[in-house]
Formats: sequence, C-alpha cells, structure tokens
Amino acid sequence: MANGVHLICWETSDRFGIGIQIKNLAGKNHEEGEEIVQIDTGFSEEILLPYLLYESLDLNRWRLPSSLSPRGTTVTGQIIHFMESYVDVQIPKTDERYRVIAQTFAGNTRFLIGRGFLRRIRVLLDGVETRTCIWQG
Amino acid sequence: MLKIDLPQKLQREFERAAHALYAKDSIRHALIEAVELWLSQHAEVKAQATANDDAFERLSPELEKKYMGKWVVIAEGKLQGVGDSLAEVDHLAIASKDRIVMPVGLRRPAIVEVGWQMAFT
Repeated sequence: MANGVHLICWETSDRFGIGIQIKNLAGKNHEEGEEIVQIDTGFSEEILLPYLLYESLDLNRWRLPSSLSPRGTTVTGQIIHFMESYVDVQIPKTDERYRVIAQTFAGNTRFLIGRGFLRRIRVLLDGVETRTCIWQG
Repeated sequence: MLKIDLPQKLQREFERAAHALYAKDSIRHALIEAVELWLSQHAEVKAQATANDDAFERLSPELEKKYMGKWVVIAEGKLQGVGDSLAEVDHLAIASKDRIVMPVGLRRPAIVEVGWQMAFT
C-alpha cells in the first residue's frame, strides 16, 4: 500500500469487526485462533465479554472491586451492573497485544469491541469492499 | 421438569460413571450431586468476592495514603501484598478463585454508554 501504510483486513460482510483473541493474565486463551468480534461504537469502554467467557477464563482472579465498577442503562431502561477484570487482547494477524479492562454482566451473551479499544488502533470500515481493516505503519 | 441435551461424549461418560457408582436411580443421584456441587462452588466464590470487596472498602483509605500507584492483591478477605507492577504481585494467592488486583488509586467511570445492542436476553 502507498505511503508505507500496510492494511490488515477481515472479510466482514454485514457487521464490521476485527479478529482478536482474549487471554487471561495466566495466558489461557479463549480459543486457539482469532474470533472476529463486532465493533460497537455505541459502547464507550474497551471490550465487552460474554458472561460465560468471563467465567471460563477465570477472570474473577484479576478483577476490580465491585464498588469501582460502572453502571449502564440499556435502551430498554434496564440497569446493568458491570464486572471488570484485566485481560490481554491479542490481534493474532498483527501480533499486537493490549492489556485492557474488560467488562461483562450477569447474563450477557454479547462480545463487542467498544470505542475505548478503538482509541488504541486505526480502523478502516470499508463498506464497499465488505471488509474491516486496521493499518500499521 | 428440567430437560437438557448434553454433548454426546459427556453424556456417555456421565452415564457410565453414574451406573458404576449407583445401582438404582443412578442418573438422578449423580445429577443431584452435580447440581449441589455447582451451587456450593458458586456460593463459595460469591462469599469470597463479598469478603474481598469488604476488605477493599475497609483498607482503601489506608492503601491510598501509603501505596498510591502501587499494585495490590486482595484475596481471602485480606491484603496479600503490594508491589510496583502487576507482574510483581500476580503470583500472590494465585489459587484463590476471587482476587482483586489493581493499582491503588485507580478510578473508573461511574457510567458506561452501552449502545443499542446490549440488552438482557
């Protein structure tokens, strides 16, 4: 690519997302390879994990106190009490790793990348080519 | 009535082990045992979490006075140690199912914007 910019892309036909892998701080992966996780610019924090994944990675062993954890309100008016924990987010295609505070709440099944994480990387939402890219360089 | 489908391999293994242990009503006995174990494990983790949250509230003023910016581990309802980095304290109480691990003085936003996708299922 021109000007020394190198694009790393994922085919994302409908929803935009990038391939990541979640690791707990003992190095346990949520899966062997990457999983394409949807970008949600409506979510202000970094990563939202499904509750089952939060549990299976034993993230209560690196958590923050309940009194510090924020709350949110859904569009339907439900109050969410978040649980928060440190995790490592790996982008296997670029071999980049970021230590972030991930969130979940009881009953959550969504896996999302929020605006907080987007501040760490440069993302191209390419609707014409139906792909999501990050660039290096 | 509770009705679930187990993964086939797990079901075969479960039935074999249950039959080997309990002659009569083997599946029922083993399932009750499994559910009781799951409930007690969750109750134990919840109790540990409550003890750790209480310890954090109790210790917080003193920690902020003495160890601002240092990393701490709170587990088993007490302060396990203080260090300059997460790596330095991460080994403390590592077998505990619930630990608070954080830099002293960390502030979090009170409110998170959740967007339209997030809802209870």
